[in-house]
Amino acid sequence: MHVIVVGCGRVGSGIARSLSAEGHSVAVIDKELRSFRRLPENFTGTTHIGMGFDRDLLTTAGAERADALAAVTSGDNSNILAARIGKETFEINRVVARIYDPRRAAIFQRLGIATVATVSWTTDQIERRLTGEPTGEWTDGSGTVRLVDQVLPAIWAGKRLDLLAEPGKVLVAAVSRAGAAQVGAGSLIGQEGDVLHLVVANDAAADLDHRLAHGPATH
Amino acid sequence: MKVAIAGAGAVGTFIARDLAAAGHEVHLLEREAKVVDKGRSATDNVHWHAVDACEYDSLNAVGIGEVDVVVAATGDDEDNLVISLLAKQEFAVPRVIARVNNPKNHWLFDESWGVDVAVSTPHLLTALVEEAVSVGSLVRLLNLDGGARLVEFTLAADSPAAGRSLADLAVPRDASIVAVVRSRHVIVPRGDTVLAAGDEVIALVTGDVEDQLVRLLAS
Amino acid sequence: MGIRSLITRLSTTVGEADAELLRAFCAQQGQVAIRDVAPRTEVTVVGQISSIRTVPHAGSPWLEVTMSDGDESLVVMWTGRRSIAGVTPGKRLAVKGRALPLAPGSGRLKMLNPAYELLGSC
Repeated sequence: MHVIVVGCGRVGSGIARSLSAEGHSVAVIDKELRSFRRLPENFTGTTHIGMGFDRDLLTTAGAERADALAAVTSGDNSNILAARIGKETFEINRVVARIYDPRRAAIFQRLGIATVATVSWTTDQIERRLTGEPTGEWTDGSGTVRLVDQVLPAIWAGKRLDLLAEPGKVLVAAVSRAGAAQVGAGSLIGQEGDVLHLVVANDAAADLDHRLAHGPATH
Repeated sequence: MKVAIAGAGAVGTFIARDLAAAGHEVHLLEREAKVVDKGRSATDNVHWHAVDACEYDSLNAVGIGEVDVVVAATGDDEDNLVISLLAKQEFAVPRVIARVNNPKNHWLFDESWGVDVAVSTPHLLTALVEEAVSVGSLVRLLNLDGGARLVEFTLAADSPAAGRSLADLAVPRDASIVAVVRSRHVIVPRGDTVLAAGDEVIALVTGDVEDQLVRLLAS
Repeated sequence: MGIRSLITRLSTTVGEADAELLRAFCAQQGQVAIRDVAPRTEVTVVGQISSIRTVPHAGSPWLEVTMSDGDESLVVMWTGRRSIAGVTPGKRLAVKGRALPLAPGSGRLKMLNPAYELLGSC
């Protein structure tokens, strides 16, 4: 996968380092040369000096073939600009923007860009949004049950989320949407951008993956 | 008319005073408190607000929901774009005018960011410079919404249009002669207006009729 | 200007009996009827998607959705995307935002990138 990281601060450099170590092709953009010092010596990706909303610079950084873009500079406005250009001009599949102001984050989320507020999201979580993998961060002591955060698969848009539940196996603990979350699925109908917080029994994980990928059973 | 201007730099302040003098209700939004304090004591018919125009709550508090025009005139293109988007999308402001600081960013300033009119000083200067030196060639003065363009053509001594009336000229359908400037007087053109060498013909054109217009007016 | 040929359109028609059911559904939601929407005031509007098109705007595609409450229709535009999963003709949704005139002087209204919620069919 080719990923563009805009902003080589603490978060940006962390994501770049991690994705590169996993074997992905990474291009990092920052307006200051000294920011790249945060990258490891053996960093195999490319670095580009300039603004993340510079069309030409983004092209040089491989935006035309990029699979994901993370806009993680220290400025909300720079991030939303880079994110929209990535998504709308270069049609990059997965775009994540870090927005400090929660009110602005909710507004920009309506542009179809996954926005993350720094306080609650770790570098790891941002990374997984870029690669599309679910984050499984909590497992109970015995290792029987875990909590999984999953971005709603497209096939579940328009479907009732309570259909994901399976008594004793899968519980929809909470659903995050537009900067707010509710406990349980209730009568919620899935929408693009929803993040599902599911509690899953390990032995039901494979089945859940299947249902997430194929939509609710039709019987 | 109610106008809100974001950015109390030289440009923003100038526009504010000018519009206030013309009798409009002008609100000037500026982030730096010191600038606002100084400004308040210097002008008495402009409403100053020490707020960040890139924030929804600030715009709301200032009453952007009731304003007729927003002018994003800060010295930062990113801010101007975000302000424009918030104004158009969140507050449905009928007319949003944005200043383009770096001509390289001009491509961004369109309806995708809520901008109705983008004003780029370098572009305007180029047009004015061209206008100052050219006789016998078309000068583009201003690009308007929806692809319309204001152009100017000064008739050379040997122009085929000299001595002919406008009705006679068969001006193409997508062009409209809006004014003829002759010896410092503005003539409102009518069918029987006869053109003369040295006349500055100002036309509004849509579509690709500039070439046709030039053929009519140039030798 | 040569762009028209690139517009793709999907639509369903709302027959009279359906319109009646739709009007009842929308009234039941308790929100403002589209005909009563005042421009620039924040409102929540409920309706059924009657048509969807993708329209190029200065180089990037916009999703234009027309929703009807059985009486009037409202155009909802999402910038920079060709589709939203789950937003298809026939679906019912609620949109929340401030409406603008569709074009200067037009009586019809549009909303830009509003918050939306897909509603179940009754």
